[in-house]
Amino acid sequence: MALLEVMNVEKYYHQRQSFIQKNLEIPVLQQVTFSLQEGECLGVVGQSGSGKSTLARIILGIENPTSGIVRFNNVNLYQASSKEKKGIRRDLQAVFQNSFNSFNPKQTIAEIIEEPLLNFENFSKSERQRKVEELLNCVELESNMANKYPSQLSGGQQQRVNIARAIAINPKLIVLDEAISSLDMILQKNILQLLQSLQKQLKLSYIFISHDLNVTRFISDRILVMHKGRLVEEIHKGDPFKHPASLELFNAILPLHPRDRQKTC
Amino acid sequence: MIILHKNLNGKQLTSITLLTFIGILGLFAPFIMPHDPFLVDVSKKFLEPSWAYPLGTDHLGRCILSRILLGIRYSLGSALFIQLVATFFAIWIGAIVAFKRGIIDFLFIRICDILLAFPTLVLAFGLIGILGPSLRNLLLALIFTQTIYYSRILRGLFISVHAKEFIKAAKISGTSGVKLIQRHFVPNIMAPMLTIISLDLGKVILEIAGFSFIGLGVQAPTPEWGMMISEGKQYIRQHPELMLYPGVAIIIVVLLFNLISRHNKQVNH
Repeated sequence: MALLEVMNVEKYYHQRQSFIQKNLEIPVLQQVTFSLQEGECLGVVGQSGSGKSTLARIILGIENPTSGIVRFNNVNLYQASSKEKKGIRRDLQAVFQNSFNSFNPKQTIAEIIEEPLLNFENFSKSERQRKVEELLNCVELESNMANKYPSQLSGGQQQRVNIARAIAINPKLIVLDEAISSLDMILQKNILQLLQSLQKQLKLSYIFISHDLNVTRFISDRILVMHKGRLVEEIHKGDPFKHPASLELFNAILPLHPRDRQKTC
Repeated sequence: MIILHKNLNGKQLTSITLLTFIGILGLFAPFIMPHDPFLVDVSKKFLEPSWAYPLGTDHLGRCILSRILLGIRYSLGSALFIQLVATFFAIWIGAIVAFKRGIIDFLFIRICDILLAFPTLVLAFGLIGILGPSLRNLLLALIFTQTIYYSRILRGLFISVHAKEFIKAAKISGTSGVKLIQRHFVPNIMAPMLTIISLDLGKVILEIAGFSFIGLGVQAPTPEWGMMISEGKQYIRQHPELMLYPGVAIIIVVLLFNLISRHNKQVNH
């Protein structure tokens, strides 16, 4: 049984022209259909503006699709009762691109990581403290970070805190929306390895959204290529790319050695 | 309280201490006052400052120091009351308008624009004109004008915080409703809001005094500072000190509030 099923999802944004003219409909997602198995890491790649982030927001339930069905654990996300929704919330977490913006600047790291625990678990204060420490260790941060504010942390540390918050309540699926795109290469590699080890430990599924094909290929079992709001290709690990949009993304990877640069650039 | 932030500087600390002291004086005025501030004794009018009457007496032989001490309640107390009530209403109005948006928001903005096109003073004038001059009506009028002004500001603050990524992240972490407002909106809104409230406290004190001075606010014999200046103006040539003492009291309090908010402003911007 699939953990997540996305069927014929479409999304249009309305742009208001003026009082007289009719609203302009801008298609962002068209006929998007895919499914995700438990424990799988699904990559979604595409250029900027191809609808990746909109898809992420729809899967996370913070934006309604114009039409189509999103089913998580066999429950329709947009017709669920509030109790079912709470259950889905628990199993469905996210990490966003701009880590600093996803923190309330007035909260300490401990308060940030505690937030899902407060909402979903009946922990006592000392239990929460212990859990926060455990989570910080899990993402390879020192436990004295707990009392710091987000602005006192580096980009990589912030992203680790984000991941710690996402795994705090043992979700089934984490949507990583450009989660490592703003980090440098070494940090990217570290975080990717961390994500992989967490996946094994906690039996997580990922939807890994990125514009970087190289990184996505490294972590994903299967890659979906998006182009202008449509899914144009589905590639299993090791398969070659065929669609022009995928090839364009593939060719945009800079070769490592200068002598190879002529071929692609 | 958020205003007692860890990065409080010397000036701010001094201002807060002094204002607290003034507030305590006002609160315990009946026990500190050397004389009854309402006791008229024409035989003792225009007395020079002495041990018995530290600031002398006014044209009706009332102790000026006692009147100024009790006046703290009317000037500072009313201003604080106005600000607190106005902020309380404005938070609700601002939050409702910011979350609902649509037609409510549209109408709210238009009404605000119309009302804010008049200076606060003119708007309050109109209201007192309709309601009649008294302390209660002055408070109502000033609460009304401040509420409109603050609702407009708070609406903007709520909308700007609502657009922030961390609100989205908090929703994904399962926070919603009142908890979302408590944990994420209020802490991020209160810092700029406190600056505005403390900056306006001085303004409100001046407005109360101004309205009382022209006879539209606190009525005699209540010892409000503006009222005292108004009473003293008949004797400006012979006894200017009748106007001087309450005037100095107003200046001190307003300046202290400005000192606090000025620092806050630098921290927030």
